[in-house]
Amino acid sequence: MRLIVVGSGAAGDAAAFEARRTDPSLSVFLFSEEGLPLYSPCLLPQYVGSSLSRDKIFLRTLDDYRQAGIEFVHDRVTGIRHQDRKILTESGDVRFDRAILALGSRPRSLPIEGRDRTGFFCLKSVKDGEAILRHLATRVAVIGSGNIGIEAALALRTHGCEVTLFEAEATVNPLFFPPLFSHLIQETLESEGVEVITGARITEILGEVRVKGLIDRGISHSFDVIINCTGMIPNSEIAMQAGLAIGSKGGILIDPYMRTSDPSIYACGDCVELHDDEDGQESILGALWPNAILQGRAAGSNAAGRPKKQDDLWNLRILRIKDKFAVSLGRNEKDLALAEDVDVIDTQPFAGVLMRSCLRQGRLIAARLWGKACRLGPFISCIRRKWEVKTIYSLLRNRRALLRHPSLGQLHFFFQEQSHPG
Amino acid sequence: MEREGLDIPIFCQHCEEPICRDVCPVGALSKGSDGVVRIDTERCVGCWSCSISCPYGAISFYDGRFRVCDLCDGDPKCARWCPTGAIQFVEASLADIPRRRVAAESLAKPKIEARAGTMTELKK
Repeated sequence: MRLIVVGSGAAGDAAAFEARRTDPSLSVFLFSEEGLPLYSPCLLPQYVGSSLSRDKIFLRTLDDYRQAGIEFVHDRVTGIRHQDRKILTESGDVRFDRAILALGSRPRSLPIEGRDRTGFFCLKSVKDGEAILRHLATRVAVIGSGNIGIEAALALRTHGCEVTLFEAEATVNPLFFPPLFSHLIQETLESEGVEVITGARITEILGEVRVKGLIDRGISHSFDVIINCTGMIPNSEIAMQAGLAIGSKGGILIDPYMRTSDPSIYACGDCVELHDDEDGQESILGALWPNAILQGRAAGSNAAGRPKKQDDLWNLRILRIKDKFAVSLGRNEKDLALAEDVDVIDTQPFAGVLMRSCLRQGRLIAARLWGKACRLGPFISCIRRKWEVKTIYSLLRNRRALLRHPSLGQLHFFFQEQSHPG
Repeated sequence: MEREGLDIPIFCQHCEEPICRDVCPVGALSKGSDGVVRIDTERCVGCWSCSISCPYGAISFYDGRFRVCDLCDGDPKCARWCPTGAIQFVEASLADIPRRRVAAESLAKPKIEARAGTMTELKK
């Protein structure tokens, strides 16, 4: 049987290796557009800043694929004809029995005039980073106050730029944090010298060839460089053209076994959208490295014939602003804000830490933290196992259980008797 | 265990499938063929994902870099200097024996108690 994996990022790589491990008789082809073995994009800034040697950014060598019996193909996939089970590539068609799509994501482009001017950037690849450094100017606008936007703004401040951060919604980082936390984040950003403008409606980029500024709600601001950090969108076009089901957020729709609407095609990583069975209506994108690894492994295992369910997302977002941490765990704030059956409890588990836990029917589904970095391991386990708060309390009262699993004791921090009634 | 005056050391369990390794976006954590989880500090970008997600809280940031128990290259100092011998460094298969015994005892306990109960009733 022939398995074709499209995309050699974290998800595709994990899928190919897991499939070979599950069924050594499977012939696995891994298609890579770049032709490079798996590398970590998070290490690219260090590599560009030449504090890290080139071989350190790679997590695999071409030899690893050979040893695992995976055929590594340097070719661009242009489409799928799933009726006749063929993958179309630049150098010809390839037949497949099973396929795994790990197509990744790309920066969202803004629907406004002037995106092609010099000085207007996105932030995803090494090229983008290098271009921004070459164009480094005094007045910089960052559009979008997600994690990447905030980190870019802070990094530019250390280069001595005047930075203005634009956010379309009323509070910063609204996808992950409720207003209470957003205000704390905004205050800290402002104390770091970043100007924050919320509720922005950017309609135009000014300038003829080079960026000169932008217009927000009719008022023009002048800038030398504009960086677009409005988020990532899944690369689902190939799947869409092939007629596979696409979710409401633009990702390839999959079930907990990583299957797309065609049972012989699987998908994993940044390009997918997972239907959440907890509330039945929302579907989520989980574009994060750990999700790519976990989903990739599940897709590889399922494609090789051993069923493996992967229905939860590792949704842990850590934002660091100087010495403060903002951590979002579990379901996104934006999804929860609309839900009516969610109970919210604000506590101060220990000095200098503000915490909000979100419960649905007595089960922990999300938490937000502000302040010091604290160890959330046991807390994450509670959310993933969908434990009821009642169960956690009875565990904490059970001395024998605690002696046998001492790490549970750390939950004491978060579950003081007075903070969570019941 | 503070309230009870008990000290329980919690350190890296060198998990079979370490979650710290899976969440690390730069591949800085690895599990060697000897089963030991190690950090490549040169690769580490300090994102805190491992420290925050470890179920045992065993990865800490200290003196400018992240640290995890590396079993002192096969001669753990905590075990060597533990004055009461509470910490021991033994093969996993050997360490399982007392644990299995505890599990068996707790399974057998209700049965033994029930038997003892009938005995006292018979004596009456």
